[in-house]
Amino acid sequence: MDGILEGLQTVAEPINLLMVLVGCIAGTFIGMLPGLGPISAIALMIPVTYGFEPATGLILMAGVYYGAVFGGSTSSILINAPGVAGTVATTFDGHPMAKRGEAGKALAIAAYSSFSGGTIAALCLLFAAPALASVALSFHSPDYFALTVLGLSAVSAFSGPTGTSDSDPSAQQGSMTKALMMVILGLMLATIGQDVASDVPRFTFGSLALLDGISFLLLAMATFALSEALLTAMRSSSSGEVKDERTTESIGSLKLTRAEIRELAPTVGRSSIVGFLIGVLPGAGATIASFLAYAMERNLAPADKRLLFGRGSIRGLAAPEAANNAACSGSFVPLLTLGIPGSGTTAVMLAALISYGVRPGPQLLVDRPAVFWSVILSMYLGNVVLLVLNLPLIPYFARLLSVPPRLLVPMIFYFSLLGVYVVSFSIVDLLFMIGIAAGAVVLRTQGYPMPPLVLAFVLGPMMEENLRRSLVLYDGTLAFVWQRPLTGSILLVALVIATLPGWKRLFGRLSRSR
Amino acid sequence: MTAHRGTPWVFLATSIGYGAVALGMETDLPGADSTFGPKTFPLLLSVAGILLSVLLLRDASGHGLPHEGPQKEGSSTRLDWRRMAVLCALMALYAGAIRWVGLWLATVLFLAGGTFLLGERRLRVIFLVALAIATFFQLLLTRFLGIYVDDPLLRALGLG
Repeated sequence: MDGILEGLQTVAEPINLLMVLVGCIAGTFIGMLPGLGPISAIALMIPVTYGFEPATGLILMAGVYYGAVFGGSTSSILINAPGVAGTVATTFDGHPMAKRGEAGKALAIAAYSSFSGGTIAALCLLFAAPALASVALSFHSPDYFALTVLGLSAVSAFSGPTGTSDSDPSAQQGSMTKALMMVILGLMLATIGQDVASDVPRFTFGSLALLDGISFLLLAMATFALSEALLTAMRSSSSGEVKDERTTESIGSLKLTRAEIRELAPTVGRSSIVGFLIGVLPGAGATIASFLAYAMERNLAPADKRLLFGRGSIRGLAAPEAANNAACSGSFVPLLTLGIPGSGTTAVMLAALISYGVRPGPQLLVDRPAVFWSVILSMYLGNVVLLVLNLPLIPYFARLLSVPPRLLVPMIFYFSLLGVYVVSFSIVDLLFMIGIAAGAVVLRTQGYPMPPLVLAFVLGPMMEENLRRSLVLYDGTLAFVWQRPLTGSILLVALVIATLPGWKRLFGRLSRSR
Repeated sequence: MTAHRGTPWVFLATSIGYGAVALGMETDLPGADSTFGPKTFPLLLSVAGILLSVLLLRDASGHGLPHEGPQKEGSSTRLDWRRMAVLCALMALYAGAIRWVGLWLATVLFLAGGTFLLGERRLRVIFLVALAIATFFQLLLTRFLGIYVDDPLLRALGLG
């Protein structure tokens, strides 16, 4: 209790309150720019924080982190350009909402859901951080491997598609085959580059440019933003002008009705818990959390609501947003309690902490309680500031959509290309990106979904590495599946999810025969 | 052969090619011949890819399922594939031009060309928008964010 009070006192200092505000504003702006996600935003802040007190520097970076995640959600919703893996799921329903004139509501839902997710997670962190840390340690390689299989099964199961009725399981099965093919393609792309364990170059064909593999940003920009912009440009009217697919130029009201709030409350609650628990696992992160939350809500939704997923469902938007933000808080658990960064972003923060002379770990709570608790409390404060700051700005953000497509589309091309260029300064990367985007357009017009490809690309290295370690640990056998109940359980859930269309078909036949 | 049948064949060829390259991988480095080497995962993926491609071919030929699957994006509206090719070529030219004329000028020309191709005919709007966006982001990157972007033209003008 003394530690919490000390942390509260630290956070309430004027300089720290100012840092939360500055961090949130800077993070939101930077996060909206394709190519500059939370990691870049925090890395840019590190030199700024030299000379600050450790708590102050960390508070600033936490504010930037949350701001950047929210900024990434904004670009996901408005222009279908997820700059970070954790906001890919936001595009599924956020962008369709924006296209039909509900950009304001979509951004508001994202803001409220993120706030709720972050708040719930901050409370969980406050009370359960040390205990959760020991649970996180009980996850071993087989469990992580099973988790990646679960994530990919979930995304394949729900990546059917728009326009597929739940009463037609056979159509779902056909689209699941396409989704699984995209998973395999994504995993194949992830193997390009040097093998982590042996440094053997794989599928580089002697090219130095491919030695580091393909960057996530390049793939995400190509398959989402660039391909979406190309499809928009390709839909021409009889006069040859770009057809405006938006049904209205209005951004709609930001207000949610009571019925919508009642509908979203359980979604946000469940997704926040799932997001936080997944975020606690080192390496699992916001990506898996957002996809799992989306899949969970889609499966829990009543039949009429389930049809809306992928077409602008408010549940489909709220779930990944709440989970994403909750996972960000969750990722601080292994960082602060064990000194193990849970994500790339927290790895950068670990480096910053060490540069301040603060060593995260089990002793941090004992030796520097003010730092520990002020970080946790600043997370909650950061969420409040983000909500208060960004809600009034939403109508201005959403105005971006009022720009005519003939002007907006080239700008999206430019942002996407610039985002990749400033990271690598490689023309080869840009050409590769354009090629992937063209391929993505062809695939999308034939019903092949992109999210499974992107998620598989992100999870591929983790999947391979953990499978390798599991096989080494169990003498080259798959004994870990039945010898570890946790692994077996997760894989069983994955199997059930993957075969869901088949089960529905079977039960449908059984009920018809009665 | 329709595009829908062609794609599974492309996947099949890709999976077979991927597996062939994986099989021919040099693995005489230390630690490369363990139970799970650098080839193992790619070979597993190749097999999975081949199986799924065969399933897709079966679906596409109409033997497996009554429906082809999901509603395709853009299937109900006319798609201008030539425009896509031209835009991709424009983006490739932009990528090449960045090193040659610099980011700022390449951006101005790219945005101007892109908006013109997509139907904007007011030259004032075309160039105002292009100049404004290119200048704003050049300043944002170089002055505010401190990201150095080599621009031969601006350097020659003493502005880089």
